[in-house]
Amino acid sequence: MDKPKVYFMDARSESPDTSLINKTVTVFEAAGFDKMINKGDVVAIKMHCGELGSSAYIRPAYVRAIADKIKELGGRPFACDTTTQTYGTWGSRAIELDLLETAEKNGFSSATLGCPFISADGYVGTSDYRVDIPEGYLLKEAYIAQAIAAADKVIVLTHFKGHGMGVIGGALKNLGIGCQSKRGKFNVHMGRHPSYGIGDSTVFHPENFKGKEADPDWELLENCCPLGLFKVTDDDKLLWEREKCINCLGCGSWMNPRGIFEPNLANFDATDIAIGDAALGVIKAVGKENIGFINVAVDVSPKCDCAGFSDLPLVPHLGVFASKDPVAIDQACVNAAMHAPGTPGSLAEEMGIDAPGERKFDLGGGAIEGLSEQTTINTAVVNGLGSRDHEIVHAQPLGRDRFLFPSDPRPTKIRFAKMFEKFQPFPFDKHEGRGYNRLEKVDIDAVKGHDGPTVDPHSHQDAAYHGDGGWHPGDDDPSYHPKDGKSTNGKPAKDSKVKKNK
Amino acid sequence: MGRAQDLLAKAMGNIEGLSSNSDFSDRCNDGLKRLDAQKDKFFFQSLAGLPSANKLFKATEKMLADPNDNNMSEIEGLIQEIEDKADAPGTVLT
Repeated sequence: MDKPKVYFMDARSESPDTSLINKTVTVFEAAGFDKMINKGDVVAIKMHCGELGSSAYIRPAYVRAIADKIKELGGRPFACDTTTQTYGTWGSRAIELDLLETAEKNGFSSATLGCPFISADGYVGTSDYRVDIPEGYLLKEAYIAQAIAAADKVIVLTHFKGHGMGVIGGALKNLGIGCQSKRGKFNVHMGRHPSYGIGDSTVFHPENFKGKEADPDWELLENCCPLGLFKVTDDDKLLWEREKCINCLGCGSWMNPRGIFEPNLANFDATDIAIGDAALGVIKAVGKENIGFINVAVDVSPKCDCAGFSDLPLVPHLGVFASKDPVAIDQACVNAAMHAPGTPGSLAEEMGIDAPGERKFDLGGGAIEGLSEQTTINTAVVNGLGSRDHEIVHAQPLGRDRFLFPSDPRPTKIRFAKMFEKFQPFPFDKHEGRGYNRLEKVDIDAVKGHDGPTVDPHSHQDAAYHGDGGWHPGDDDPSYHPKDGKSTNGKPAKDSKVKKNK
Repeated sequence: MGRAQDLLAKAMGNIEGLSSNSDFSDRCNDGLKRLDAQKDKFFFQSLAGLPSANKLFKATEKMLADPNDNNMSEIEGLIQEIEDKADAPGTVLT
């Protein structure tokens, strides 16, 4: 059997048709996604709008470019994300209302995307479509966000990066978590699972709670759980109804640093396996022939866009990838990151994984020790979703004519000559046709020195602007003169001038 | 032993070796005492402490190669950083 192809363009850019945004469209076409979309198809673009405060999430311009391309092909695109578990005490995408507000704050709206942005799993996160996955390694069913399951075609447009729990955030994670409803996410995170659920498997050390007086955040230990399963008693005991835990992860960031929970590697590993199975669920719901994957591997931050911050990238921009195989595309990105040098000053350097050839995400992405950047990928091989082996195909630029300014692709003279005849922006009638009041010559080298200028700041007495609020010799507007000849606040130019009384 | 604790133990071994240098023995012994109070904390049982352990280890290697006041001060600065971070709440683990 032929290896799946992964179409790739690197992150270098030296012309409009090699801009990363246009390269994204180029690999879309190279992978044959344009042939997948028929006139009238409703096409979901699954993207991650970023938690509020994160800054490395995919830029709206990439989504816009794909939406425009889909419209050009006669499709009807919509962009979407899904509601999250209540994993953060102050999460910004937990219900549709939060998600849409955050998306707009992060720049995603119909105005910027050219298509609607919606919550694919409804207001709370229970609008979904259940699929059986008998091939699953761990999961046997998945709950797919309704709007994604209902779409004719799906483009999974992923910002590739690290992830604290998933270790990598690639196409499989965008399917196995991002395309699951909130209900589906509890399944993937092992809520109430007898072996891997947090309630069943976490080693609990209530003795490490230091008491109300010593712990000013003690109320948050009670309030971090949506089911209210934690209680601090009057005599400073921390109680947990662990048998009811649904694995929302809301308590981890409070319990772990205090040593109240031991890091739960089994839960993290099992979740990474379940992501690979749930990803298969999406393919079964949508149909393999109806889905394509694009990974934009730029700003490869250590943690996911679901964290409310973005650290320095682990590695420099890697490029854009497209494939019909979600396993192959993620493996290609993992390989590219491994071969890349770590970013100086980044977590890669601090973790000692900055040398080319070092795996970047086991330690740089994962939040606890012992996780593997291959777990989800390998699971998706085992359940038959795709192949680690792949062939990299270097896509070629499509040429400048493909990326003209679409609103007005006419060349400059045709666009502006007539307009400039009426509204000439250059003042040809001034300064003997030179237009502006400027010195004929200055000492250019005097301001090029890396150690600072070699001329006195006020040595150019004829300069139009001194920077000291004084009069501008040569200013040919007779209606202005300096206020008292000098500025009191040091601000020059207009701030320091008043209308001359006539 | 986790990777962070392992690196911290190596760093402490280096500092112990350096303590035989009479110019720095007092400062090394003080540093060892301070690190001993931190080494079993959750910070070093998790990946959260790995960057600090790694930086400290590298700084101690530098000091072994070139024992001088600047390098010793860098080690002391990193010990201070560990003390500041080890008990800080809100370490991101999920």
